[in-house]
Amino acid sequence: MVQQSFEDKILGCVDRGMASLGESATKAILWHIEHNSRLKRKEIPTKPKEFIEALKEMLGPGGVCSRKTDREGSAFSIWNFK
Amino acid sequence: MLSLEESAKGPHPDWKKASRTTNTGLESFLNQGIRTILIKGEPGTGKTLLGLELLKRHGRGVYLSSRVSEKGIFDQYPELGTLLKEGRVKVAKPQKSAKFEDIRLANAATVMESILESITKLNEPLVILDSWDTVAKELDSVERMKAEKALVTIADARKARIVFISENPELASTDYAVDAVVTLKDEVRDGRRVRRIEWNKLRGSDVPQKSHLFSLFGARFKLFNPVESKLPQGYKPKQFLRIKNSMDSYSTGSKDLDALLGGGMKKGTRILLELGKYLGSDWHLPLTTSIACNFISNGGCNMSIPTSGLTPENIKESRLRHLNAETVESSLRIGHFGETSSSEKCLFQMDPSSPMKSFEQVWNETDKIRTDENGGRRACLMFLGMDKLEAVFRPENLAQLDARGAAMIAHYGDVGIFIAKHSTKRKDSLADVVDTYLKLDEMDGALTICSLKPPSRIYHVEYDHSRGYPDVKMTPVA
Repeated sequence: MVQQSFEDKILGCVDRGMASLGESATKAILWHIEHNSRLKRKEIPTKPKEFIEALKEMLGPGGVCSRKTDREGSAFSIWNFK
Repeated sequence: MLSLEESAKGPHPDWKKASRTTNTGLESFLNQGIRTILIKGEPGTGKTLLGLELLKRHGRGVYLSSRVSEKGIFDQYPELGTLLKEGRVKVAKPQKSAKFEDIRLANAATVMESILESITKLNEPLVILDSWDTVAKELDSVERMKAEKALVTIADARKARIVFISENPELASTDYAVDAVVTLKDEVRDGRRVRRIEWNKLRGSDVPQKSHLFSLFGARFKLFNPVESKLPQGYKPKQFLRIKNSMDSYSTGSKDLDALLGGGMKKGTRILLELGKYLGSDWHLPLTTSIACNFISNGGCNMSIPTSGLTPENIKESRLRHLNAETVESSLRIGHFGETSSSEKCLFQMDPSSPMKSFEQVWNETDKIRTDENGGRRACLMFLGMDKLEAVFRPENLAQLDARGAAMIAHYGDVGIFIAKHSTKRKDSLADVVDTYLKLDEMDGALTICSLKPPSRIYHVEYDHSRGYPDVKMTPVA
């Protein structure tokens, strides 16, 4: 069984968080962030601040981040959007 | 967020900015609180033109078309080409290449990429999605709602405005997501085209009037606000600038009205002017003032029996505002049945006991002003308030004067304008004998006019007082 890497978990959280925006908006936002902020999706786990700033610029106060701990005790971030 | 201490001091300062405003037409869309707009309507109702008008007023933005090609858009909407040349609008490039490609074959994500690109590149732009249906139809209902929610959030954050254009008349998720919803309608009234915009939703504004009349004449969206009929006291009056008569017609003083009448009022003719049921008592005064002042300015004279709701003094004052006193004294006569005790030269009291006597009085007074200063005879413009006459005399007694009056008007080359109201009993019989039958009416608060005989389309009437006198401007409701 292949263990999910930390980066994959983060990206999973990002995907779940942005699911509230829908697939089309998510694709468009990530494309926009990649082409304007030069931040690729795979770089998000290593550059969370840049990602948050880019989201805030796009969505305003609607881009809200919070931290939660899962049942396994591993800390990861859930990105909640209005 | 306010702290408890701050909350105790009173409402958040930002709440003051969000106070309700009153809907004043298209400007309502550009209020601070409106970020997203949905324009609905069947094909051909003017949705694209409304979007372009908003784009022009906003001053900068992007137009995304999923329905026609770039060339097609500019061919159909020259206004867009003008905005583009002025650099105030961009036509979106939805693909990632530099070359323009229309988005007719683009998917929702690509369209949203274009929107994001535009919103971030331009400062507070207005983005038109024409049409949102084309994009939304490929999404299921949940995805569609999420996409709309995302766009609303992005528009708010970036201080952009997004206009969704839709041909779906049903309530959809977009209706709930946006700040403003309007529906454009193309209707028929008495066999004539009428265009209406219905205000379904306008967040943060009072909407005292559910719908307004509008026109697409000249490929421009023009919304008609409720009429402002200013009596002379409402503005700074100036000398009336006449339009010259032609060989066979008298100008009304309005180029647009002359055009409706086929070049002006033909000499020796009778016109029936019906005033709609819900018109104010003075809404027609600027129109008749323009006609009278132009007629007098061209060397003619004016006999007037006012309709109820207008006094002899109202009539005289309306002429005096734009013509010199000496000309008015020598060229105007106003008949009344005792509404005023004034003994001014222009006014004369008619005999209410006999229509025949009153008729003779009218023609005698007309003869007095018909002779000009050189001894020549001049034409007379006669306004006859039929509702006033019917209030004094029985309608059947008035009927016997028709033939004689018609003969005299024709003989002298005069113009007789019978002003009838909704309840005027002789309206239909007059309609049978006059040469022209006009109806001045009210629709959604706006003033309209059309010719019923011969038939014409409906026109919006605006009284333009910018030159110091009522200039009657008419726009086809097309």
